[in-house]
Parts: sequence; C-alpha cells; structure tokens
Amino acid sequence: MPLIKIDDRELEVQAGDKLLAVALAAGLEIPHYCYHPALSVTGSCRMCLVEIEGMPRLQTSCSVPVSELPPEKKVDGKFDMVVHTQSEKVVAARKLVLEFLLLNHPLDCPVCDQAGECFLQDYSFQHGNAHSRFIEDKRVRANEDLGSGVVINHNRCIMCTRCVRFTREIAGTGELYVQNRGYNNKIAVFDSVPLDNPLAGNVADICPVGALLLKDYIHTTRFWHLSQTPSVCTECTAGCNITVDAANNKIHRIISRVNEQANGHFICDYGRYAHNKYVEATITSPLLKVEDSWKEVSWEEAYQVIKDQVVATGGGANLRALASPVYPNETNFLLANLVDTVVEKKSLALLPIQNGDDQTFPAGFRISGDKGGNRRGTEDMTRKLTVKPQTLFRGDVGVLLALDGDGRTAIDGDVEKLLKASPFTVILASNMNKFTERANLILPVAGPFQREGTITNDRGLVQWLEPALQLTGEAKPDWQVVAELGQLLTGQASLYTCAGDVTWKISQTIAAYSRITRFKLGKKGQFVQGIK
Amino acid sequence: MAVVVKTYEPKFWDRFYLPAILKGLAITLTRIFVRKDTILYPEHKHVPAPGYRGLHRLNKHADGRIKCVACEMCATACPSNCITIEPSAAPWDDGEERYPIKFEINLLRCIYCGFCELACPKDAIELTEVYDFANYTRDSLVIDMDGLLEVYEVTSQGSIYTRQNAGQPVKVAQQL
Repeated sequence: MPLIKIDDRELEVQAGDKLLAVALAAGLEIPHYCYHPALSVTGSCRMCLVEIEGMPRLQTSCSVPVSELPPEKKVDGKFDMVVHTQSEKVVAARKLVLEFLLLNHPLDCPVCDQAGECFLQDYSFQHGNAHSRFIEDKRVRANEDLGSGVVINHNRCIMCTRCVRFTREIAGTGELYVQNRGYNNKIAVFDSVPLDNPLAGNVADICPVGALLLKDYIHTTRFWHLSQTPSVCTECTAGCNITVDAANNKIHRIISRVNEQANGHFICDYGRYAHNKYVEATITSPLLKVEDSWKEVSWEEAYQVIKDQVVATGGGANLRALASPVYPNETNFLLANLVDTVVEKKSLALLPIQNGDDQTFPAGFRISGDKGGNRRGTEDMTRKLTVKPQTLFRGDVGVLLALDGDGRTAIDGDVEKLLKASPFTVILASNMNKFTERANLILPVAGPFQREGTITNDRGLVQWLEPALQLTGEAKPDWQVVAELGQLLTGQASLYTCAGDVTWKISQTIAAYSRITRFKLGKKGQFVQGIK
Repeated sequence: MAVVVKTYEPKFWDRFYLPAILKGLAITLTRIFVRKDTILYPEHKHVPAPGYRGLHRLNKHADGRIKCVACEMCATACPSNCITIEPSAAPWDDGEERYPIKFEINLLRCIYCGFCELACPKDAIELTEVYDFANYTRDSLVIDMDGLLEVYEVTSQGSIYTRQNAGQPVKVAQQL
C-alpha cells in the first residue's frame, strides 16, 4: 500500500484512490467545489489545487490517483507521494482561483438563501482576498425556472457542474447541460424539456453556492435560525436519512443526510416535500363523535368512554386491533403486547397502506413503492399475533383499536367490513383524513416528524427516529398512549418512562432485535440480527 | 495606615452664616443675566445632538420602494431579540428579489444600542433622534413596518424637533 505524506500527516492508503478523497477521509481539509463523493470527477473548479513534489505544476487533488512508486524512486526513501496543501504557491493559487470564481458573482449574500451554509462565503473568508481587481461590469442574467420546483440564479453559479453530473449519473435523466462556452456558458435545460424527475430537489442540496434553489424554501427564513434534527424519512420503506430543518416548531425544509447503509447521499422529492402534507388539520385534543360531529373531550373522559365501550361490547376478549406500518416499532410492539394480554385468540392485523411500483435509478438509488415506512419493523413486532384482516370481522366484534396511516391508508373491502362490524372504533392519529373520519373516538398522538422510536427499513436497518417538532395541544407520544391503554385494559402498571425504555423491552423480547438499544443505534443505525 | 479625617471647624465669621447667605444670593442673582439651560419641555423640545439613538425607521429608495431586503442581519445582531422579520419573495421583477412582509420592533425590549444599524448591509434600518414616543399600553409600543416607514416620512426632511420648535405639530407621537 502506498505511503503518502500530506503536510505533516503520514497516511497509508489504497493505490488508485483519489488524493482529495483520501485527505477528506483522514479529516484533512482541502477546499473544493466540484468534487462530490457520489459523482464523477471533473476538476473544473480548480479550488483543490495542491503542490505535489516532483510534479512541475500544481495539481487538482480531486483527479490525482495515489500510486505506488518503485523503491528506488521513493521520496525520502519511503514516501510514494509528498503533498503540500499550505505552501506559498498553493495559498497564492487559491486566492487567484477565488478571485476568478467571484468575477461575476453578485455578492448578494443578504438576499441569498445559501448564506450561512455557502462554501463560497466560507472559502472566501478563509482563503480568498478581501477585494477584487475586477472593475468592469458584472454579467447579469435573469433567474430561470428549471422545473420540478427548482429555480436557477445564473449570477451566483460557479459552473462546478455538480448538478449536470447528478442528472446524468444519479437520476439518469440528463435534463441539465452546460450551454455555450467561456463567458457565455450557463447551466440550462433543453428547450421545452424541463427538469422533471423525482430526485430533482437534490440539485439544490449539492449546489455548493446559492445558484440552485428550491421554490419551496426560497425567501422563507435564514439558515442560522434553523435547528437541524438528524432523522429518518418514513414516507416509504427505503428509510432514507434526512436532516429536518425547523424553526419555531415549523419545518422549513428537509435535506438529505449521508448514510451509505441506507440512501447514500440523496433523497427523493416525495420525502423532501413530505412535511407540506401534514401542516393542516392537526388534531389537538381527543375527539368523540357525537351525532356526526366531533366533540372535544379530555383524556380522562376519553379513557372512561373506551373502558365503558369495552365492557358494553363483551369485554376485552372481543377486542380487535390494527397495527400501522407508519408508526415506530415501539408503538406497534406495545399494541401487540396489549392484544396478547387482553385477547385470547389472534386478533391483530396490519393496516393496509398504499402500494405502488418501486423506482430504481441508474446509480442504485431507489424509491420503494410501499408507503408504509416501517413495514418490516411492524411485521417483526407483531409476527406472533398477526392474522389476515378478513378474519377480524368474523364472530363477535368488540372495540377496534387502530393506529392511523397518515393519510396513506388504503381502505379496501376488508377494512371497510371491519369498520362496519366494529361497534366502536378508536383511532390514534395526528391529522384528520379519510380513515380517521370513520372513528368514534380519536386520540391525538405524535404525528410525522414528532414521533420517537426505532424504525426498520426493508433491508433490515434499524434506525432511531428523532422528533423534530414538539407536540401540539394535548397530543401525547404515540407509544405512551398505547401504554396507557394497556394500563387501562389490563390493569397492570406501565413500566415505561420514555421511548428508549420500550426499545430496551423489545431487545429483551424479540431475538432479532437483541442488540438494539437507543444509544447503540447512533445516527447511522444497525442491522437486525441475522443480516450481514 | 491610619486615615486622617478632616473635620470642619467653623471660623469666627462662619458662625454668623451671613457671608455664606450673601455669597449664595450673589450666584442666584447673576443667573438672571445668563442664558437659561432649562426648557419648558412639552411646549419646547430638546434637540438631540447628531448621532443620538432614538426611535427606529425603515428607509426607502427614491422611487418609494423599501430598502430592506429582509436579510435578518439586524435581528441576528440584536442583543435583546426585539426585531421580528418575515421575509418573502418581492412582487417586483427588477431590483432586489426579497423584501419583508412583516417587520416588527418591540420598542420596550430594545436597548437602543444601534447594532441593527451597524449590521444592515443596505442602510435600511436607522435610528432617528425621536425620543418622545411614550404611550399608555405595551401593545402600542410594538412598532410594525407601516409605522417604521411612517417614521421615515416624518424624519427624512431633517430634525423634527427643530421644525416642531418652530411651531409644527408632532406627528410621530400621534401615529404610534
């Protein structure tokens, strides 16, 4: 393996790896714009120039592979490559490169949404000049709408072509290209072929400056007001890692978070704009249906009603339950436990969730058609008890306890019959939708982005779902409500004080989850037992 | 170290008190012939020195458009967190593409340090010399964007106090 020296650090690396990738992996900083670990290398920004001993000119470190030298040619007798990133020549070159990149840049940081997370700002401050010698008029172009909710500000663009490479290599649609050459070049779409693919929002994420912007986020807030929560998307079973940016208990945007085990570097637009679906019709207190209209009741009253109804419909033995694949493992585990304790025979089914076709992109990114984000986890939690929905509406049907499907419920014939057969339906939900309207009693629980717990994606990766928003009104965490219902119907005291307690209980009960606790999961998650 | 405490020992003439009284009267009498420092406040207003930091205003361009681009630098720099801004895409095609749809300053929280003025990249927010904007309720001392632009209208033609002392009415206190 080649031994290289970058400044003072000696690194033993794989031959053929690119110098910049090696340096970044070792925690060394080399400024760069066009290099992206998931995309091909172009070396167009010239920002990552370094001095390599034995090479006459400065080299772009993103495109230089590390290779092994024959023993007699090694530098200082042992190094295959000696690199300087802070030498006088490099520092001067960086200054010049930044001056070039900023020639036509409008420096409109006050109105730019990238300000605060902009690499042009950071590198200008660290490596650039305070002044430009360019006294001519700057090139000014109007903003253009590229389609799919993406706007381009040509003035801010530095032509790194990350977006062009993204549409060609990752999305495979290739809508973007570089139009014209030299002074006249710009990122453009072909006439009448707008940017149109379900990954289009990523081009705004990977843009190192404020050129590509999301219409959804533009001019809504400033970056430094946002609190960033590392979380997981539950819109489909792929379990992509996301960062939820919220301020004042309102989500402003969702961006991707790198996790090679799950989604890699990108997320799809369904997940990116998911928060917009859940802003309206939030349920803030328990709702009881009285003659076709909703009446707000307190939690005590709601629990009393449930108790009365259970007694009136033949006791706990007739209880029916629907677990939901959009809720975390903890909630479904507690619901399964409840059913196991109260009912003698199996009487739990999975709520049917909308299902479509899987989409796979050239570089391997996939969007699952199954919109029940925690399908696998829910199945794992309820395996012992699950029956097909059609067996639930046979015999004496008592109270139906159901978890909501966040508006993605597919109300098919079986569920329809079950809802009709059930004399009293209790649904745990956060937002009003077609399914919750069928309830007799709605209990407000944590909604999307408010939930806490573990979810398992379709490849068996268990990840911690971090709540990004606080609960609204009288809503309670979903696992807590199920635990309280268990207390109400079984008479046994609940042992759990937080979602992590339930995770621990799961690890004690279900063999495949035996190694999983909240703190072992970290930000990247862990595979369930038995999967390599 | 011992401290020597000086005590006052009245002299012979001091025991009469008359010289001191006459001395005081002399000072009082000379004041009759010197220019007065006091002013009759509500009728006559003090004109603050240049650079005085009082009520805020939001400046406008010559064409009447607001200069503010809602970058929230002032709100970020503000040590008392008294500025609330809500940005939005501007309705016009030319010029800045962002402007505020809500701009509120809580004048009771504000400590009049002038950091907002220093932070502003567009010279949009400024502190004027207006100091008499006391009011009866707390709500009325949260000034909104219309109010701040109104302050600009009132104060942009020079000090309101010099004009006011010439007999013009105070508009600022009324509109708050």
